Amino acid sequence: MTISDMESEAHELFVAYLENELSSSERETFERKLNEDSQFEAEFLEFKNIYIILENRLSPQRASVLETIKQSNSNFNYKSSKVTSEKTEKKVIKFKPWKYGVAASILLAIGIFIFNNFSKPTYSDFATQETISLTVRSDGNETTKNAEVAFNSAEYAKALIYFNELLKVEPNNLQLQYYKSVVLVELSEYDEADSLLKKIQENNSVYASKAKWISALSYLKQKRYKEAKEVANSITSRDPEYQKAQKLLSKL
Amino acid sequence: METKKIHSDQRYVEALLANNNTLINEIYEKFAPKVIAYVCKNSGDETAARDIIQETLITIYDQAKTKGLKLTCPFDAYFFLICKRKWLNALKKSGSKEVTIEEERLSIKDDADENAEKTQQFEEQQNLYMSVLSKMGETCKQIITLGFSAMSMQEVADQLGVTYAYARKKKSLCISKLTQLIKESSLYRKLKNDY
Repeated sequence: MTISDMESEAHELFVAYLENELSSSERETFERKLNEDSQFEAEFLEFKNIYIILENRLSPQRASVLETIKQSNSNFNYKSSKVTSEKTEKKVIKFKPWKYGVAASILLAIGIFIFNNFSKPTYSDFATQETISLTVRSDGNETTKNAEVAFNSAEYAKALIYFNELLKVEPNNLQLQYYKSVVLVELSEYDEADSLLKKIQENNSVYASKAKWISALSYLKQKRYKEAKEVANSITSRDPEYQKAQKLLSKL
Repeated sequence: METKKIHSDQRYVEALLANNNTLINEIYEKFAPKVIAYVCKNSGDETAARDIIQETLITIYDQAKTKGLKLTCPFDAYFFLICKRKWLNALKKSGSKEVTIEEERLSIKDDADENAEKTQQFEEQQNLYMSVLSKMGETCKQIITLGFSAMSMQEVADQLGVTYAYARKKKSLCISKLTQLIKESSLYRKLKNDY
C-alpha cells in the first residue's frame, strides 16, 4: 500500500463522516480518535477545510444567492454625482438655426462612428436569457426545480443534464424541448440544437417562432450571418419575436 | 481576534447568507457608487466596477458560509478595500502602463485591512481549489460537480448509469485525489503558511 492509497482510505472515512454515512458506533470510534490523536485530527481538519469550500462553491444554494446579487446589480442605477449637479443655470439663448445643423451633423458623425465600430452584431448582444420558472406549472418536482436553478444561474452544462432527465419522462413537452435547445446553443452544441429546433418548428405552437429566433441566434453565434439573416427574415410580423428579429436584421 | 467586537454591519453579511434581496439591493445603493467612482477614476469603467462588486459579494458569502466570517469593522471600509485591491490587481495583470492610480492614504493596518486581507486570502484559496478541479479528468469532474449539486447520490448514480455504491466510492476517490492535488500545489503551501 502506497502513502497515497493510505491517504485515500483515510479520506474515504472522512467523506463518510462528513456526509453522515457512518453507523453510530463507527461514528463514536471516529470521534474518539479525533479526540485522542492530534495528528489524525489535524489531517481531518485540513481535509474538512477543503471539502466544505468545494461543497459550498458547487451548491445550488450559492447559485441562487449569486442570482440575487446579479438581480440587484441590474436593479441598481448608477448616477455619477457630477452629472446630476443641481446647478443648471438658466440662460436665454437666441435661436440660431445653424446650431441645430451643426449638432445634427455631429450626432450623425457619432452615429456613423458607432455603426462602423460595431458593424457586426454578436450573439451576446441579443441572447438575453430570460429567467425561467418551471416549478409553478409542475410543482414539487426536484429535477424541475434543479433545471430551473441551473438555467437561471447560467450553469448550462448542469441544466442540460436536468432537461434530459425531464425529457425522458415527457419527451413531447415543447417547453422543455425549447429550453433544452437554448441550453444547447449556449453550450455551442449546434448540430444537436439545430435538429431539436427544427423539430419544435414542425409543431404549430407558440414555441415555433421562439425556436426560429433561437435558431437565428445560433447562426449568429457561429458567425454564419447569411443563415442568421434567412431565419430572421422568416419570422413574420405576427410573431412576438418580430421586433427582435427586425433589430437583428438591421444590424446584419 | 476573538476578543474583538463584531460590528453591527455584520447584518450585511447575514443578508448575503440569508439571500435577502431587499438588503442586497441596499448594499448596492449604499456601497456600489464609491467603488464605481474609484474604478472610473483609475482607468476603468462602470462595467468593470460592477463585475468586481459582484465577485466581491459572492466571495463574502462564500467566506461567511464556510468560515463564519465575522466583521469587526464597518462594511463600507471593508468592502471598498477588497474591491479596490481587486481592481488594482486586475490592472496589474492587464499590464497596461498608462495607469493612473489615486492612492489616498498610507496608514497603519486597521481592522478593515485585516478583514479585507482575510477575505482576499480566502478567495485565492477557493480559486485554487476550483482551478485544480477544472484540470481533473472528466469522470472525476462530473461526479464531484453532480455529487455536490441538489441531486441525491442515487440520482447521480442513475444519471451516470452506475450503482449507488460505485457512485459513492468514486466520489470519495475523486475528492481524495483532488485534495491530494491541492495539497501538492505550491500555492496551497504558501497560503497555508500565510494564514
